[in-house]
Amino acid sequence: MISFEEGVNCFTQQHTVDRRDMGNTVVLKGGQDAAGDNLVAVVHDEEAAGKYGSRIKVISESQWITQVLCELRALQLLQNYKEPEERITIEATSEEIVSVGEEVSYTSTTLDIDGVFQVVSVTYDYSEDTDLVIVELSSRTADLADFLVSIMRNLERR
Amino acid sequence: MATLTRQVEGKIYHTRFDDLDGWTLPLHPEYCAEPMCIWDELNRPEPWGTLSYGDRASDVYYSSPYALKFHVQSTYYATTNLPSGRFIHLLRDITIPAGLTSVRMQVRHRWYHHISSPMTIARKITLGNQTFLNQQPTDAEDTWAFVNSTVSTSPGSQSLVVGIESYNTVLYHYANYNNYWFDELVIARGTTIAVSGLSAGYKAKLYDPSDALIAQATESGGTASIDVSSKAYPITARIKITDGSDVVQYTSALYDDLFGGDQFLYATSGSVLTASTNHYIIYRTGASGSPTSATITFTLKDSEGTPRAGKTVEFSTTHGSLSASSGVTDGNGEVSVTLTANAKGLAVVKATYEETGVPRAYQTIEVSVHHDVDSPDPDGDYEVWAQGLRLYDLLVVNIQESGTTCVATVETSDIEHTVESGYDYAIYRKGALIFTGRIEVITKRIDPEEVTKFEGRNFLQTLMWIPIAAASYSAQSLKTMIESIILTYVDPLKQVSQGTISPHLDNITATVEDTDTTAFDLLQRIAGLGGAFLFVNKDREVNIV
Repeated sequence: MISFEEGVNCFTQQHTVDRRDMGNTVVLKGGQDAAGDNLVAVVHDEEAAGKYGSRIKVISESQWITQVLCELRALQLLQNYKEPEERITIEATSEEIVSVGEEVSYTSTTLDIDGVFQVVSVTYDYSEDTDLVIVELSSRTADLADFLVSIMRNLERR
Repeated sequence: MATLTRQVEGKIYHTRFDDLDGWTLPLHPEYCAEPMCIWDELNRPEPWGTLSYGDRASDVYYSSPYALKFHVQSTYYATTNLPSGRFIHLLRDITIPAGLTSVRMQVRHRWYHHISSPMTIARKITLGNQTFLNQQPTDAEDTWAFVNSTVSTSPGSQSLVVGIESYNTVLYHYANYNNYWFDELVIARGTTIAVSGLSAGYKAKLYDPSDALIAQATESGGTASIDVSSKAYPITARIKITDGSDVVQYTSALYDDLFGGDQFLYATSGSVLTASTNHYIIYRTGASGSPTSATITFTLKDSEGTPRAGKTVEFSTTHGSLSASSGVTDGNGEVSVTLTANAKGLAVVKATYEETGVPRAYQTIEVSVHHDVDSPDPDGDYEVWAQGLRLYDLLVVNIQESGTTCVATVETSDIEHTVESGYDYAIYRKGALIFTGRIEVITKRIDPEEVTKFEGRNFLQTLMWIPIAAASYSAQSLKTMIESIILTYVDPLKQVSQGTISPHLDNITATVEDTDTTAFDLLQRIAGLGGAFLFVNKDREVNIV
């Protein structure tokens, strides 16, 4: 895993904390199981609720057709949404090559951040006067299930 | 949260004969009649019959790794026929629970003969003086047979006997032998799995490990009795509880030990906490504005909605201080605590209640502590006040109102007055309030100069955070439904209040049911039925017009 450390191999341009899309109670409305029952999984994170206030997030993903899968997915969503999303834009000074979707570690003593983030965009800006690599990081990690849900929603729209 | 607890074990006795612990092989002559016995009175093998335990042959055991096997063969020393009534028995005592006059018994059994004709020997199982199995070799050979029937009995200690017995003279034939096997012997309380504590219309369902439905029952008088009389015990399954609309309310872990006669109790959360406050906004101690304290009331009820009195509830807050760290609920299940703070901030006040054996209950409520009352200059231009403090050095103020949502973005180079997520902010123009909301996104730009950019929605966002587990309105006017939702779920938080509800919504009657939703989704759905539009204005009022 590539590591970025402020002042060592990167400079921080901006730091964003976004509470818009949070949920420390996740209600996942799944599909129907083999018997035709509608599946619902409800999971909580009490610690996050005590920190930010109770936030409910209701999500419908009909592809989960057993209770166990529904609950596992709900826990995965809870893990991703229970805290505010942190986004960081850095200017990388090292010659590391990073790719979108890759996980990197980022440390900043001034912002008091030390964690693993996912690369959401990379901009290489090279000209006669500039040679910049701008990397956007996010604390929200998209996994395969998220990509599948995204693809299915796009297909449904068409 | 819900729990499912087994209160009565259906299993009375179950063995896979993977060991013979607790079984005895009687040597007493009345059980061990010559010549068909393993041992004689001098501990010598008898010419007829052996008991072999631990047969691993893959074609004969039903449940791994062993089956109980009886092997009958005339030895070199036996040259005479075996009379009728000779037997080999294993014996143990079983305690039948009080109140039972019958039990469900099950066994797998099998037989095989080597040469000549089958020996006239029957497989027998008895409980007390009742015979459960007496099978002569007329059934299919070398195939596991399953016997499953109810046997009369009486409470107390009963003898359980498993074995084989000659029912006619067994003719001597050198090298002939017969084998008999038993496996999965079960004594259970009955033929149903009962789940009590169910609400009207609820169902209890059994699902096998591949999630296929294998049996189900609808409650009657609060109890669903699932018929498992045709199933082999122990049953490996999950129990699911569904409501009248077949929405799954609870799924158990996979049980591998379900027996007829099991009795389960379904219970939703032992307790439910709700919260209300008399003020969402208070001012720091010493401010000119009032109030400077908020009284927060938590209500503890059981899952049926009955207040729980005399219970200790613990309190905590992320900001300010509380008048007590815990309190005891009164006759209405209510307990109150007062919040004050010396500085601005957002207080998330949490109450928790713990009780052995049931899921922990918790609830939070937010109170916003402002530095002081906003005092915008009536002659001024745009002003932004966050949590009762004016922000200076504004670079950008942008308010976008479209449809239901209203978003305001502010950029400032004011580094003295910091803002945090969750803060209230108000935007004034010429001293008049034009926007109120809560900060949701904060971006600190460091390069090339330090700038703080923040944005948030108006107080509509509050409605999106209010959970509604289940709502049911039957043939009521839309206005009545809206007022009920606001009164029940929205008003206790005091973040927004009821504004204008269009009178025409009183003339439209509908039936609305929903589960696992939010106040925003439900209000918007009801507003949509009446062709109305939901919005929250700058005075924090919910309007549906």
